[in-house]
Amino acid sequence: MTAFISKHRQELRRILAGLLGPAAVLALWSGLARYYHPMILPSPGETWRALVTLWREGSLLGNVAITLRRTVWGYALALLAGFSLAALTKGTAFWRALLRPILAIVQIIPPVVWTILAVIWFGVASQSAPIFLIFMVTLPLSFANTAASLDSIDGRLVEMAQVYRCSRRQIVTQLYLPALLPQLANTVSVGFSFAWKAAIFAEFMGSTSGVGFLLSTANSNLETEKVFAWVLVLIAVMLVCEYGLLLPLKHRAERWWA
Amino acid sequence: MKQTVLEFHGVYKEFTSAGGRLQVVEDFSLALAPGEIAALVGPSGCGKTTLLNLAAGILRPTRGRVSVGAGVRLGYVFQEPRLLPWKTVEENIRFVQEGLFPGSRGAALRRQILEQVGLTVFRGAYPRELSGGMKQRVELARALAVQPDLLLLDEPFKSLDGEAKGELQQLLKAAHRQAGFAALLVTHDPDEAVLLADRAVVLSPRPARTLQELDLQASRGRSGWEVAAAIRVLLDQAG
Ligand SMILES: Nc1ncnc2c1ncn2[C@@H]1O[C@H](COP(=O)(O)OP(=O)(O)OP(=O)(O)O)[C@@H](O)[C@H]1O
Ligand SMILES: [Mg+2]
Repeated sequence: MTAFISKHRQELRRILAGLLGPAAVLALWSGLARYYHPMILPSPGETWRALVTLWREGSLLGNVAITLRRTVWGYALALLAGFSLAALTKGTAFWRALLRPILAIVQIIPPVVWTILAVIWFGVASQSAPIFLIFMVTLPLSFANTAASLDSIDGRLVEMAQVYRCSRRQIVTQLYLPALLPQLANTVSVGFSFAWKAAIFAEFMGSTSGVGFLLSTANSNLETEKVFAWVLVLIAVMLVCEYGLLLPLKHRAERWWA
Repeated sequence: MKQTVLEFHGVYKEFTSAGGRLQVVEDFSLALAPGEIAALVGPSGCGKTTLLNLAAGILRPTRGRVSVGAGVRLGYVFQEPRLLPWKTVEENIRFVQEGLFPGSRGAALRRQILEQVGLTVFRGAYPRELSGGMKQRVELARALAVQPDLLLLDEPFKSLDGEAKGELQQLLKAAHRQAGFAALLVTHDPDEAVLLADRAVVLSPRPARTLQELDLQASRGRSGWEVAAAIRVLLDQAG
């Protein structure tokens, strides 16, 4: 009984400690907001009212959905390409020698260059421009991560399967895949927030829809309280994705393996 | 030409690594007839596992030839267990049977072998839930489950206590009487060689060469411990 209480007390203390940081930020924010013009630092109350206005205007959920869809598309394509390229470089020394430098260069190029190119090539109103940027920015990462997880596969198990004349299909589906899954789940969840930020950036720089575009509109109209409201939305969406979807997925993959 | 399951012909194996070259096998020859069991006995680190890996085709000889008879099916009990961690005991065995006995025949075989090695109650367990000795049993069960023509055994009974060891040695003997596979058995234990093998190949310290071959079948008339003692003397002289 006492153990039960102390366990709950511990849990409670952890939750309170976790809330302490955001609460302090909120207090500091409302304190500072008293001394500044709303155009420079809107108060939490003003931000909340702006959020309600956004909701009433009906542009909130639709634009979040647009940005999310682009994120998922761009990132899914990058994962697929990164994985295929990693599998190729694993197979032959030639492909590795060919691809490694190219991807290293892609990684060095600043995202803004891809945005400029995307707007030139696809146009501002195009759906593909943000997707292109997300793809280019997350490709080197997903390649490097999948290549690392491919390298970590236990070669002695592959030898065993070959001695027993297991088919290639068997080796891929029953050995490679289960060995890769937990790490792939990790890669996906780490890269997703990265892809989300790239999507906002791309929309901010060159697009006519999505959260990033509305952020840039609010910015140029000097509606700082709307900018703050959109930031809250961004945080909320990421938290929901991370804790509602990606973390459970990762735990599931880990449990399945362990 | 005499039919062989496995033949080493003037085999050399050298490893090259950052530290330089390491000669591990030197001019090794051996022919194994169907149903024959040869024991490889040699000091630790001399190259016994390397010889089994050459036989399995995991390694290629630097010089010489290793040939396995056409259509010969292999079973390999690795020195350290190589089980798929995400599969249960039974699934691990089914994994190697899939291309051979997919249906009910494989299931029946599996059930019988699991019973024989005493793992029936553990058939749903994952490798991490098993002791070293139990994993070794799974290795043996898996190797027998493909009904091999050639069994490679790398100290298969090492992590078992006396009683379990004797029990599994008898099981292997019985399986051999029934199925008649050929086998290459690596062991540190001269008594085990005498008990299970037709022939003992005593190896030198690295690089592995054949010091002497002892025909254990001819000597079975004599008492086993006499032969085992002879192997010990050879090993002592070499090491
Ligand atoms: N892939 C490899 N690359 C480099 N060196 C190796 C490799 N495999 C084995 N060796 C070396 O070859 C030698 C013989 O190794 P091997 O495992 O065949 O010996 P062993 O007789 O089986 O030893 P043990 O009795 O300890 O099992 C060792 O010195 C080992 O370090
Ligand atoms: Mg060894």
